[in-house]
Amino acid sequence: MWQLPYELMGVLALSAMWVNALLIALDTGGRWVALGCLFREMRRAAKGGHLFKAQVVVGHGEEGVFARREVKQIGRAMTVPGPRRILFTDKATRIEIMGGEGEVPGRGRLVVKPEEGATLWCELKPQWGDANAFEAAWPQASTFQGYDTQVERWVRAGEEVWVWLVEPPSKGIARARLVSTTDPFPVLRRARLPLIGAALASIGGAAVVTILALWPPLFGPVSTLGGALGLAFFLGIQPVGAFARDAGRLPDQQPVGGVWQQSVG
Amino acid sequence: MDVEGVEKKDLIPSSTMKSSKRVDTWLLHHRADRRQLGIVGLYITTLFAMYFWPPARNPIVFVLACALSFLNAVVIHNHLHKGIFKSKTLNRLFRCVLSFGALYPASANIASHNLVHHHFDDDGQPDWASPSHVSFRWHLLNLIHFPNVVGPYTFRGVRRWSLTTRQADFRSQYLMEQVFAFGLTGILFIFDFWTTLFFIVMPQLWGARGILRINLIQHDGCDLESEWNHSRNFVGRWFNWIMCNNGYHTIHHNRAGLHCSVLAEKHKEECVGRIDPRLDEPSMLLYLLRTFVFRFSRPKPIRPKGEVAQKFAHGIELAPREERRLDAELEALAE
Repeated sequence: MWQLPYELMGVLALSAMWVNALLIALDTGGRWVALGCLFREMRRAAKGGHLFKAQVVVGHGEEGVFARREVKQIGRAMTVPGPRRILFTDKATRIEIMGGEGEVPGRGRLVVKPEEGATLWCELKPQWGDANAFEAAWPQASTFQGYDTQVERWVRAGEEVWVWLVEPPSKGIARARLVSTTDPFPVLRRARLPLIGAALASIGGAAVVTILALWPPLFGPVSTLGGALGLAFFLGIQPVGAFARDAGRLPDQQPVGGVWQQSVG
Repeated sequence: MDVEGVEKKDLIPSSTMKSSKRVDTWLLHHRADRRQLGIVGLYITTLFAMYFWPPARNPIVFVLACALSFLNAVVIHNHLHKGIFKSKTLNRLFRCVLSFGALYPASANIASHNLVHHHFDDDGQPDWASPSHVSFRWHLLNLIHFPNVVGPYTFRGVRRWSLTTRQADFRSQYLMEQVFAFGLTGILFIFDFWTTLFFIVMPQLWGARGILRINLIQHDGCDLESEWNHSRNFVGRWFNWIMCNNGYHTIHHNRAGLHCSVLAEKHKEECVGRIDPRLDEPSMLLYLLRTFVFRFSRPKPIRPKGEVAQKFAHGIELAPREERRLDAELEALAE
């Protein structure tokens, strides 16, 4: 029976590595491009006066809420050695833009109404409570069902927000597609960075590995080092790509998670 | 729920319950599992044959090893649902062998498959292997790329789950499987790097990545919220003989405790007539060609409408998904 030459197997291995490296680059690079389009669209909107900073004066939701994001979480008691901790995982996320009235410098007061599908960009920081709250949560967190909780962020009167409108305000009414509690431009820049980094690392890493693996003499010491690095690269670039995808998510899709540790003393 | 009770009942298929023929052997819970042992034995033999005996490094043995590697991952799936051996120690040792075959710790399946994937995103937590993780317009790229995304998500999820598991020895077992799988592969690397890379690691990774792709193949376009239309079935007879009945996926999701040898029968009893007929594919090969090779766009989701939906809506006693999830967790704890 015809034996498979190692050169052919090497081509097969390098091909598999390249196909997957290119797909990771295409995936992360595609997301980088998409965020770039969003960035440019926002910049045009800012120039055209559709994206601006405003101060919330009145919220039309209950208790004067202008917008809110809530993330349901499930907490499970950690069973690894060490202090008692509860590990939280996100479940459902809910975003609501109730709208209200905002004071816009140079434009006066605007009534902001949410467009369908409007979203909120904001940071969510879990605030789980004190030592007593931990003691109360621990037994439930130690069951199969886990400890259900919720992290919330409400935007109310007095807060500064960035509002991106679908179109210029008409008769003092503005229809919002995005409300953000932080400047959206740096947010997008930060999100894009890991994506392009992963795309370049994917192609660059594959190129370096290929050069080393093909270093003469084939299957010699340098070539073998290239083969070893190739396997490490193939296995390592996948989590790098997944990390970049996660880091490149928009703020309304970012997970909250978190670990609640029993306070000592 | 009594875990022991569930296992005993489910180990005896109804077809064999009618006759007095024993389904177990002195070693195995089920005679049919000899096929699974044969698959793994043949696979490990092909790997070591290629490593130690140069004439075995030919296209036929190499392709066979890749195919068997995928089946080794299928056996991991089955074994982690239902331990093959009566001896718990043997089951644990067998997991190490399977882990070497797939180059990943077999026990990862408990969290990633039994506890998370089987319940999709019912509790609001996304399935680590959800088809929605890939979104290229050309669907073939999704198939190739899928393991690049869901692999890291899966192992990250397993690592998080292992921090909270109450399965007392999960972490030590998981570590043992890694030491065995990576250690043995590492030793082979030391003695012959290139032969190990080409004839051991490439088949190992083919199987490990293939089993991840199955999630896309079996669930893409299905209605994960439905009790019956959440999975695609491949019902070819020979295919299921080789695949240890893993083509019958709807019934496997609905009744994860059933032994794989009874899935064909239970599929006919419970699923046919209740699932959308478009989710019963006669051939996986034809499906793959039709879906990934002969078209460039992703097929539209399959959703029964109007009369069709009505036709498939008639009920059968299925425990609520929360209850089934709890059962799976208890089984994982007991295994």
